Amino acid sequence: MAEYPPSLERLLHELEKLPGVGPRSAQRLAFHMLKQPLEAAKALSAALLDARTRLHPCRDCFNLTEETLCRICAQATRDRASLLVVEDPSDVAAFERTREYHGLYHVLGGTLSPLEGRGPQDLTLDALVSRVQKDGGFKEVIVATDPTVEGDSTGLYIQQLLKGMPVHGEPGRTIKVSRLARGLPSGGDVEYADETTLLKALEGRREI
Amino acid sequence: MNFQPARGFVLAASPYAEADKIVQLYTLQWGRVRALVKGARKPKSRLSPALDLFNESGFSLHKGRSGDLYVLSQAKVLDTHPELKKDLPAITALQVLADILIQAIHDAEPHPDIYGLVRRTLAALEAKAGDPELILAAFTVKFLDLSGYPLELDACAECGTSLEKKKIHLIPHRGGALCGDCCASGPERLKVSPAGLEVLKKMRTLPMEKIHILKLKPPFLREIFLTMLEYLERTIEKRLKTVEYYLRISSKF
Ligand SMILES: [Zn+2]
Ligand SMILES: [Zn+2]
Repeated sequence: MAEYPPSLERLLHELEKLPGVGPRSAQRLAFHMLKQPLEAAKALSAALLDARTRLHPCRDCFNLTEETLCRICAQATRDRASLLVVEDPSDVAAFERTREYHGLYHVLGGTLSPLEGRGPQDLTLDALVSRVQKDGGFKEVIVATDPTVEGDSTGLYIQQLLKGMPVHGEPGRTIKVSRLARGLPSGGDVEYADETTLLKALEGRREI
Repeated sequence: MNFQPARGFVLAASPYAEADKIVQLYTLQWGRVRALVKGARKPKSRLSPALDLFNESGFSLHKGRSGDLYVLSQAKVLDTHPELKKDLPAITALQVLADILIQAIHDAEPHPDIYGLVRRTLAALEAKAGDPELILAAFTVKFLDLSGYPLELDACAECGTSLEKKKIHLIPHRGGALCGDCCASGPERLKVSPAGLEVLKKMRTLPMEKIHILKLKPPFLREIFLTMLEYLERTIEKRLKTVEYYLRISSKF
């Protein structure tokens, strides 16, 4: 019944598993690759395999890295009093492009999204709490999840988790939890925002 | 182009392709529909502010090429319910409400009464007119009535005898409350106390704006809330994904 030879069917089948790739895009991608020299296909599959085997989450912040710690966590010059909580590694890249944020990051791995079956146990929230507790040097945690209901509820939940945690070495002072300003249009996506928009949202953050 | 105007709520939005979204809408004119929103994830998208959960808008929909998927080309936002999105209990209640509508309504049939009930439920949540669990439990009772699964609460759904001073159980698919003689055993039984039965009757008759006059102790309210959600789940033969999440999150409220 297959319209194509088995090897091509298999390629299409694998491509269709990718997000946003339907049967038509899968065909387009497959036929494009098949027209290229063999070297191109080898380079693509090697790059994919290499990235997949080398990259893993950073021990501290869950950003992607090839080492134990990512470049940002390993950098001595970062401001260790400030922690920016983002959904994905691509959001870390977006804030790094602003060149104005010098603190550390924490990558959640998504937002609380019950309709998609994602609860607190599916995010790196336990690690966030123990990191903030153990590290003790953070004065502010900035939640930079998308300006959607899921992003907002994730921020509020984090606020509940970190509420009243003390700042080490400063008796009586507790960690401030803030949220990016709504400079980003609601319903938007942090990773798509340009640097100026992100910077404005960061500067206008408010405590939650 | 075949444009159709529709007034509706956003029940869910998920990323699609490079920068698009697919949204689930509950509309006044066309019931439940799915629509593709091109470029919705770009920050400059004029449509993205309309796509957050339970935002109500006037939409322009037109039939896409592929089956039942519409293309959403315009949105005039009518209400974003900002007050509802400021606290965790309210947001979590919204997510349960969206889950119920997604799981229980499949057809593209208009149902103005249910649409009106959703609006009044959102208004009650927004006005903080009662605990979210109370509002959602009342919503469920009223929703079942309007969906063609009304619960019998006044007499045994099978033998018709009075339920006073009797052991009562709610049984989905058998019409509602049954007396002990009619339901001796069975895993499908949901126990309900006489006081619980009275509360359910009031939830049916009181308008949503007045539901808050029912003052229930938290454990009792929780019991009624969970009983109604389970009754609904068994009636529609679908699991609600948000219930376990609700219980987990609400322990942090
Ligand atoms: Zn790191
Ligand atoms: Zn009976």
